Amino acid sequence: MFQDTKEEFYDLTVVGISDGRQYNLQPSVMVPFRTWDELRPQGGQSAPNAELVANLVAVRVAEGSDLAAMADRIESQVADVEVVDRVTAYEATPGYSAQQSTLDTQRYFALLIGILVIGGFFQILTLQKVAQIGMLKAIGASNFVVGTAAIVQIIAVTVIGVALGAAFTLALSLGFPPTVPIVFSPAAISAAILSLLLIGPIGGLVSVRYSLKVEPLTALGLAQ
Amino acid sequence: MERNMFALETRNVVKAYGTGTSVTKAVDGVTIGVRSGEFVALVGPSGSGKTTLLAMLAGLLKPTDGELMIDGQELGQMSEAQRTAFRRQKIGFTFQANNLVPYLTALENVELMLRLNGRLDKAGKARARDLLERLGLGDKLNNLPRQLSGGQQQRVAIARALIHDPAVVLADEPTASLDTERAFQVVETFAAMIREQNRAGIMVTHDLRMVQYVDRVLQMRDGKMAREITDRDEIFAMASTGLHDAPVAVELPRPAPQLVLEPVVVR
Ligand SMILES: Nc1ncnc2c1ncn2[C@@H]1O[C@H](COP(=O)(O)OP(=O)(O)O)[C@@H](O)[C@H]1O
Ligand SMILES: [Mg+2]
Repeated sequence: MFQDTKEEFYDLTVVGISDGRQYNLQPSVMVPFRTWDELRPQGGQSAPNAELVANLVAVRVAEGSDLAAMADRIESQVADVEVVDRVTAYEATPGYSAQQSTLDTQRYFALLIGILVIGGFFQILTLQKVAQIGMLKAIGASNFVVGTAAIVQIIAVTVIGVALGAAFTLALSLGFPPTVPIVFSPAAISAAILSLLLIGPIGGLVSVRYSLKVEPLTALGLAQ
Repeated sequence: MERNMFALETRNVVKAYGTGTSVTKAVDGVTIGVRSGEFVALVGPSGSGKTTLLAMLAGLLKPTDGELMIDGQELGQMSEAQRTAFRRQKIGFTFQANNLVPYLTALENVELMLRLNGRLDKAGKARARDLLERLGLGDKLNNLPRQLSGGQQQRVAIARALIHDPAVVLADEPTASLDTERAFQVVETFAAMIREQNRAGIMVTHDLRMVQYVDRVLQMRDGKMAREITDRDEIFAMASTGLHDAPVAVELPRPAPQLVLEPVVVR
């Protein structure tokens, strides 16, 4: 017990378990409205809160209803209520947008770091091949041939890498406990795979440029 | 015409590095000519300009001055792209090291030269196989470079330098990483192939023992052509002085086992 708060316990009967119902990544319990009114914090004497209230009431309308007219009617008949569509409602959940922007930032930084790491990886491979590239140019391989070979190899390595990574991620996700709030939707997976396939070649561009600049004179140990 | 006598010819070719007062002439007015079927050694102390001259002959470096003709074409006037195409068509090249692509087999490394020229057909594949067999690598066709000895790698490089019917074959220190026995074998084979296939061959070497296999020795000093030796006895005398410009005569090892080179119809 601290300040005005007092713990109380209630017995509730579980009649069923639903899938994927969470509020702010916390597990949630669905109870009838009246039960909720009994359970909810009633406030101290200073703030009597006798009225039956809800933060949010979800309304399911019949197929083909006029949504605007429905919203007008609700707003005119219920006091202190604002009617919004579903997306606006959950975006207004406390902390939602803050958390979402954190996740988005992480996502974009992961891609940026991916470009740098993959680019660095290709650059190291290219540096190891300077002698070989110089030799190829000395015997007459054109920049077109060298550049094409570099791009084809970068794409091949990226495709194989992303395929392995995706398979590994899938296997890992199968082992997630159900409490981990991650949903793999086909759209999200395709977006991730697509952006990974793109960042390989983008990261590799620097090394393609580098391999074009290798001088054939290196084959004679004479590069300037 | 005198010009057409030579597969390769330079006239007063100069390569200068640096600007203003600090100009060094790495190659300083060199005039040479090499005929088809002739094998020439380019020797001289370190820093005398051998590699620089070789780089110009290969179209890798633009001369500062002078003329440079290979197979009747003037290299100095060519663009970078033209010189690259010229190299892959007219020039065969072997290097001191890093000659081969490590991921390709011996046969594929030789075929690469035809592939670069867009000429890798059935006949080309057969010729590549043939050439390697004649260089004693018949049982190593599908070996990767790392599964070959240094001498075997140099022979693969020799095959690659010859497979595309080049006018000129250039070799930069082909024996630098080989032991004595292998060095003699490689150069002897090289010389035989150049004569048989009627190429103009130039070999840069600091190992004077190797000159016993050439027709002519060009000795450079300070960027200039200091001496030209055509006399067989003089060439053998030079070869017997051993490595570098050592003043003491060394005994030449017994001739390396002869490679049997069967006659072959080129093209
Ligand atoms: N890129 C360069 N810049 C300046 N000087 C060079 C360069 N390359 C070679 N040289 C100089 O040119 C001379 C000839 O060098 P090089 O052709 O390598 O001789 P060699 O192969 O006979 O040892 C040397 O004095 C060398 O220092
Ligand atoms: Mg040199």
